[in-house]
Amino acid sequence: MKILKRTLLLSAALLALSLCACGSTGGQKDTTALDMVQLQQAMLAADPGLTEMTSLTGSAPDGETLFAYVSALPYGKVEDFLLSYSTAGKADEVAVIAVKDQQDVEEAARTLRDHVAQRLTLFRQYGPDQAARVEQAQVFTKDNCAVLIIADQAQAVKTAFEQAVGT
Amino acid sequence: MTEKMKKGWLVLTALLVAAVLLSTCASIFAARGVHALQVAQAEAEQTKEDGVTILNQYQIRSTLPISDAYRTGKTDRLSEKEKETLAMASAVLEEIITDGMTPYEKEKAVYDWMVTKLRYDTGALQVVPNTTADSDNPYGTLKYHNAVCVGYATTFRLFMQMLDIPCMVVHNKDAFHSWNLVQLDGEWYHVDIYSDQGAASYGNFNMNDEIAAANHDWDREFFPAATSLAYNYGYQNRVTVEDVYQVPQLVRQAMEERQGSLFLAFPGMDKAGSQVAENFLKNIEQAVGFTPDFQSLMLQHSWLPMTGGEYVVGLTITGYDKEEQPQEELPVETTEKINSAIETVFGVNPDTIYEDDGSYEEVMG
Repeated sequence: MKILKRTLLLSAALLALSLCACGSTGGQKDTTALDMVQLQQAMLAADPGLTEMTSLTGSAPDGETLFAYVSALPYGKVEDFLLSYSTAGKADEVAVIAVKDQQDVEEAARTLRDHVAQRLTLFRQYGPDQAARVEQAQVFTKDNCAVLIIADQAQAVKTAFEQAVGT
Repeated sequence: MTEKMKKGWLVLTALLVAAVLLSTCASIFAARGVHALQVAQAEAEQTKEDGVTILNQYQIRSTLPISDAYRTGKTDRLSEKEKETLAMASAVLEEIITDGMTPYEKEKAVYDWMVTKLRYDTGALQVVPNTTADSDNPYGTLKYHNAVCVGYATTFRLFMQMLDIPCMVVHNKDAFHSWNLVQLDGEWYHVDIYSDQGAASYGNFNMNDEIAAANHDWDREFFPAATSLAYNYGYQNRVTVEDVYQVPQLVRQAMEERQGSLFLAFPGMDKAGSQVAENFLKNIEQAVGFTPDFQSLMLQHSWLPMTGGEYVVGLTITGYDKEEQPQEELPVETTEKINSAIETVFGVNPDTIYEDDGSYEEVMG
């Protein structure tokens, strides 16, 4: 039984490490596309209301082009990113930008705030009920990651992110 | 001075004159270039009706060749796509316009058709927009019945121009939205069918500038002023309320009659009275959600800005279509009939393989 527990603990630790695209390792970050996919799944799973979403990461063939829809950060500064957004005309959105240099993380967060402002203008015109949800958007940074969450259970999604990156 | 020196001075002078001439020419060309650039920039910044891009991707384009072809019957200069657009638009007018209609009746018939037959393309609201092809022009709007605001506005203008009713496409200052201005009896009115889509509430039908300004902004220097309420639907169809306590009954009656909108006017009401009315409306909106007969309905209200201190409120009632949607679970008899038909063909009744918790038994092997 002890061996089983140890194995489980070790597996959990390895999983957490593998998700540490944004973790503060103090050295090189291993931000592979697979990590972002797993992070994305963990964050979306935290809010059952996040349905009818399209998801993509920096490994998408036209990743650089798609990234421009969510952030004006020069793509050369981006290590990887994930983006999930509603395809049902709603405001729901989850985005994580992992930057190569942690000094750029505030700039990345600023671009996400600009993006939120644009979404707010759009929804005020076309979907006032969704505009109220955009107003509740959460933008924050963690190590080399800038994060945007627009969801009814944003706090649960944020917790899932923090757990995944090993807070 | 020797001959050599003289020649040297001459060459130097000639070079200087040439340099001055060249420099002058260059300055003139540069000035012309700058002027041309300034003119182009000024033209680009100047408000215009067509050639405007909304939401960075949907372009407002003229459809005059199509409406001209409708009026003259000459279609030889139209592209195949334009001919198809003309055929679709003509078929709609054939269906909804009758002899003897006034321009207002024609306009309302087009509004009624568009607001109920078309759906807005929510792809425009996605972070990475993904709208149906041609959702910003009459071709895609009429073919797929799916449109962004530009599709609504250019299609409405096409219909109006086919009917010889002056009409413009208006856009807001940030190029985020577009709608129409239509002229009836010499007066202009704002019409925003996209914003009324699905509700058929007439809340954005034939607004004057004052009402439109509550949710729209535009270049008032460029677009004509709309000052009349003569054809404003809400104003013309307002129900006068003498006693604010009549409001619940009036709202219930509108719901029973399946009206999409209700406009109430409160003559002689002061600010304190408007607070009472506001409170009434908010509470009715909440109560409707708990009323068995009207649970699927949603009620929203907004006050129309009126000059002269008159209080008019517009109520939008939506959700009638939800009443008609099938229930989430099929009746037991229908389910049994389905399962029996499957059993007849496949030899297995789905009802017998599913457990109560949704898992299923191994029935084979």
